[in-house]
Amino acid sequence: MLACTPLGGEKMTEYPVRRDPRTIIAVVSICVILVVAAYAAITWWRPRFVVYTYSSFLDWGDEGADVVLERAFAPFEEKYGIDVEIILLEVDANGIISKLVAEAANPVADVVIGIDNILILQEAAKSVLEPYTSPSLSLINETFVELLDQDHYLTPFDFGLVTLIYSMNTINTTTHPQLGNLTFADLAEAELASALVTENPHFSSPGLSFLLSQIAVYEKLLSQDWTNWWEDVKDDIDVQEGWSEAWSVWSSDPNKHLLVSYGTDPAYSANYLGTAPDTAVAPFYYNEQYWAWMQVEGVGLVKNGPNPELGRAFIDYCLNATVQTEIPLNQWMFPVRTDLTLPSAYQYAIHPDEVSVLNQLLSSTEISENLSDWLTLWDTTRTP
Amino acid sequence: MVDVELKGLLREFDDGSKIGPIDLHVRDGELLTLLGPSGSGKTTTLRMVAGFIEDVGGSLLFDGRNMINVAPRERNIGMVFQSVALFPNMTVFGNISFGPDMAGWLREKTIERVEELADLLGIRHLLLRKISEVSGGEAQRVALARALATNPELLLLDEPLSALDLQLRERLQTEIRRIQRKLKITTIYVTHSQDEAFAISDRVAILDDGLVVQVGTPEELYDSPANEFVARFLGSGNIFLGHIAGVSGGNITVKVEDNLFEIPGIGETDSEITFSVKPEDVLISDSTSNDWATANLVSITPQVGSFKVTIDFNGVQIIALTYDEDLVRRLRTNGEKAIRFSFKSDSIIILRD
Amino acid sequence: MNTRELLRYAILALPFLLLAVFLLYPVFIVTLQGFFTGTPFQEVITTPTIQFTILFTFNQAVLSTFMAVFIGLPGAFLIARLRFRGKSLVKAMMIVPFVLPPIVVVVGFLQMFGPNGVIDSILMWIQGSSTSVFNLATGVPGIILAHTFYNVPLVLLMVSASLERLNPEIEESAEILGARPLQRLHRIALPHIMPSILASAVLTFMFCFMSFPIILAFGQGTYMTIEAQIWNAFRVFDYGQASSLTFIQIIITLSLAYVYIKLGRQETNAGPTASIKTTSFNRYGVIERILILGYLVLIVILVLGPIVTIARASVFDPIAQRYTLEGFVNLFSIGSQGGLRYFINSLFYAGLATIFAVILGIPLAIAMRSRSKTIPTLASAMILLPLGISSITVAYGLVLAVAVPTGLVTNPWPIIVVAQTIIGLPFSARAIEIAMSKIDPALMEQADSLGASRIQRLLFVELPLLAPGILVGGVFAFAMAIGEMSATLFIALPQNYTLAVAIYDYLAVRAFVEAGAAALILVVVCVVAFLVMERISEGSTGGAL
Repeated sequence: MLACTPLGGEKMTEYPVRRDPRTIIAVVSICVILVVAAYAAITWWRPRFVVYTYSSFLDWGDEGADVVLERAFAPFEEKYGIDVEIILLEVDANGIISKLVAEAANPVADVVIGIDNILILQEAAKSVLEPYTSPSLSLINETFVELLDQDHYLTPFDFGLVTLIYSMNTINTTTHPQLGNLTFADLAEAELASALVTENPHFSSPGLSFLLSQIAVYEKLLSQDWTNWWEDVKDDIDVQEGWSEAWSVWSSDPNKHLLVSYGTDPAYSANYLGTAPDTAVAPFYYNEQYWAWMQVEGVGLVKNGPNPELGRAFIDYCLNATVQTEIPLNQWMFPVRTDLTLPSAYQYAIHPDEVSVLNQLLSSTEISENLSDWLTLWDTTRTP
Repeated sequence: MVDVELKGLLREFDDGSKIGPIDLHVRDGELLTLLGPSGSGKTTTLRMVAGFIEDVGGSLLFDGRNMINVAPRERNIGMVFQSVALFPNMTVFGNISFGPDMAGWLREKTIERVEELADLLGIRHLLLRKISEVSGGEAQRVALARALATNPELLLLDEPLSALDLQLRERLQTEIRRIQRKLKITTIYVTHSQDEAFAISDRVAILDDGLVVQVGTPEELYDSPANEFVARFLGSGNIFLGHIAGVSGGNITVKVEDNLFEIPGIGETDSEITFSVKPEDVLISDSTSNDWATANLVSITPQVGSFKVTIDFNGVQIIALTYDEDLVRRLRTNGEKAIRFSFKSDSIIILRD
Repeated sequence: MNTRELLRYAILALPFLLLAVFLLYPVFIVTLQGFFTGTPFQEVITTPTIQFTILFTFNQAVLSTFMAVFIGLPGAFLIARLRFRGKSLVKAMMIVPFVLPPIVVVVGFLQMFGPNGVIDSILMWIQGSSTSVFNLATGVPGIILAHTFYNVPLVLLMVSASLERLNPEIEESAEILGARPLQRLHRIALPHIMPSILASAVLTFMFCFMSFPIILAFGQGTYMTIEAQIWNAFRVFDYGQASSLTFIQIIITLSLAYVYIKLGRQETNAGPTASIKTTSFNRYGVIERILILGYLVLIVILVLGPIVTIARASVFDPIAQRYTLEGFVNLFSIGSQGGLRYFINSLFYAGLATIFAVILGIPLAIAMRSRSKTIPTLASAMILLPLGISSITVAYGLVLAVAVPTGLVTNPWPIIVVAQTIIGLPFSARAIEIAMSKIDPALMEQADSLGASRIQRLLFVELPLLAPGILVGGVFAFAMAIGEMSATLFIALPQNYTLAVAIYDYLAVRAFVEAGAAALILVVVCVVAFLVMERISEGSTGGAL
């Protein structure tokens, strides 16, 4: 060969070789396919029983949602030989309905937990659910069904009060005596208004409860225009997206004392501290009565879900003691199974029996007819 | 290696202008240059031969095979562009070996061929260089080597040297000619420089406005320009427009600016005639005793071994070439403006338009 | 038409088809839904809140644009005319804000101008206070300022590039003819750079108009842009309102895009950069020097400050007022709440999206350079669409039109990749197209004459020459994809969260350190990506705009 002349001829110099891009492309393609395959395999969706709920579901206990959910639903999984996949969506309940509406053509979820007595009044909510009268309803007081949904789109799961709470470390009835019998007028004053954190009624159920409370008080008790209050406080109050955000602001900002939250928060506080709570409630005071809004949350069967039979069984199961006993310490609501004993910390929680319930002032029809108008009006008060 | 024939090659453009029809015959192994001013269609003609122009009318024959609808890559040609167009991302070796690599040659054979061409063009030492490190004249050589690598039948060169300075250009002209002769490869060369065309070509085709005006050896073109355009373009000489006053015995008496000149040729009395006289055939004299035509001296420019004398003849500029040093000295010292001139009559070329 | 031509047309048509399926069709479906459900169009426009939102969107965009141009213009002159050490470094760093995801900008901004941020801490220390005294990262001031931060570099770079192309001999001639500096500025420099000022203003306006994460973070729920309102509308399943607003938005952004394209044609894609004439700092008088220094300090604080302070944000917990590494611990912990999953998701989705954006960008770039009359316009329109259509609408449309029917809702990561691909496509196609335009066509003919087949020419000549452009396009697309928040937030289930979405969530629940740590990772990724880009294109990235 030309290159190998030994007689001092030129050694074959290293001439560059022409690289074929096809090899690089092939190598890259193979790597990509492998990575994608690996990822897809890891995250592959296996047919399961799917429950939609919001992200803090049963997550507020000491053990965390993973453990609690496992314990609560393992018997169901065993009995029916299926994996229960609880999908925790990072939205408040309204967002869940939105998601169900989007998926209506091809639903993936079987059951949804967390829609409450107000949200169910909306047509959209009813449109994605299928009514189911559970035989387990015999285990609970029928008033819950009346309060939640007479048409059985939802089966009651837990209940509680939505009211204002405050941390006694920052303010209390000594420094602010009006907290003992709080009126909206008190709240409208700059000092308290700028210390108040509430949630957006469009997206959050406590936020919506608060708005409806205020509307109920003004329209029914005071016979005044409810938008006035919002106009008065618009520059002072802090409206957060949802309850988690509001809670974070309330607990981290030294200027925020009042939070629209649940009546069970003092029980939470007591449990957390191990002694008497440092969180107190401030229900509204009118006509020498204390008023608060009652929320009943339910579990519903998704219309056209993949496993309707299992869905019904699951709803029945939710009223079992196994699940209901987890509610007080992990969900911080009252279980609808009132026959079960509550933990000692719940002595500090405020029970619907202790207050006048604002819901009775607004009928379901009244709410469902007016809600979108009210929300639009609310938007207008918030517009600078 | 290949006999190329252009028969009625034609390309019409949207605006109505066209190049062609071109009729040309390039013989096997010859170097034919397409010469003409800018816009005369020489590059377009070359590109038609290469196959880069669509919708070409007429026929193009390589050894009798019509190549009109054949893609450039299948025409077995080598081409060097005006911009040289070396592949910037490859080395010199990579550039030259491109053709063989695409054709699937074995590596040993490719290396052998590249080295062979590199030796032929004197760029062996550049083979591993990056294109960015290659200088002007070297780039042309690389381009030439690249074009020849796959042993094409036809070599096309589109003004490959126009970007170089004069010295480099002349050196490379000789190179190209030498290599072309050695390889005996049929070559079509395009340039607008007459000097270049005449220096390297076997034959030259002059193009004007999309048509071939005259084809011939450089000498033929220079001595016998077919028409005024060719004469002017080649600088074949001074061009005169005159009126035939009389014809007798193989000569014509032409009246130019009230002066009569006798020139050999045939013509009709009372018709117009155009003829050209080369500078070296214009005789000048400062004598007052002959009956030559009179003109005014404009300037004298010394050249290598001769003098270029420009005279003004009733508004017409005539360039004469003389070797007469004494005459020039006299003209300079005398400050005389009056000059007489005549033509060497057997060297006058009658131009047909 | 033989099979090879057919194949060629098929490949060219592929990106159009995919965009039609994954962009036009979903948006169409959503719009259709909007006709039949939710608030009708007339009602939407007459709602006071919506009218306020539309007005606000415009006003804040105008104000932000004005401020960005006002602050950026002097800087452009400085960059073009002043000679100082480290100038190339400064110029390079100026592009960084542009490639940063907006949600990261939010973090940096909070850290620099927000409560317990850098400026606040300094002021607190000076005043001896233990509570926050300074907070600019909220409300309308926060929005305007954040937008300004984001866009001053854009103005600065575009105008300075134009200024550098001004032949100094023109100004010198004017000077010899007796023109004073102000006159030269007014009559020569200003007219020359006016197209670039307008172009950068239009781009800035478009960005501020479509702004979303910044509005969410600083808007306090009351100040919203049209995009944020669309987001709300989808969350309460009011399709009518959402599609009405999307429609309004499209009209405005497409008009702006049209203006931008027209402006782009005006500026003669200039001749060679004439020898740039720069002056040394010392040649200026004392007052001028103070002004220049003052301006530079302002720019450093405003533009570089938020980026650099993200480092502090990743380790300083403003609530507990202490330094901690918990943010990073969380970031790299495995488990359902751990950040490692988000990190991997981010890299995986963005990586895949980048590959698709590049693969689709090549035929699109070829189409943009086609000699036909309609195809290039169509292609340019296609790549502008993702920039002008609400990404939330696209996301929702994808869910509705693609995820639901295919059952992908339970594991929607392919849809996220699709959304991120769409976001990155304009950038990859543009970069590749620019690279293509720089290739000497004679090289292609040369390859042909040397016997290369079409495929060989593609593989051995075109692709190697395009490789840098493809890489730049890919890196750009990657930066855009990894920072994408709106669409991903909408589509993703918790297990699909990316870093960008996680940052948003962390901020919402006041987990500032975690947000900071995640933001720092994204900043590092984007800066590295950008440095790679600069390296490959050798400082010509400004031209990619």
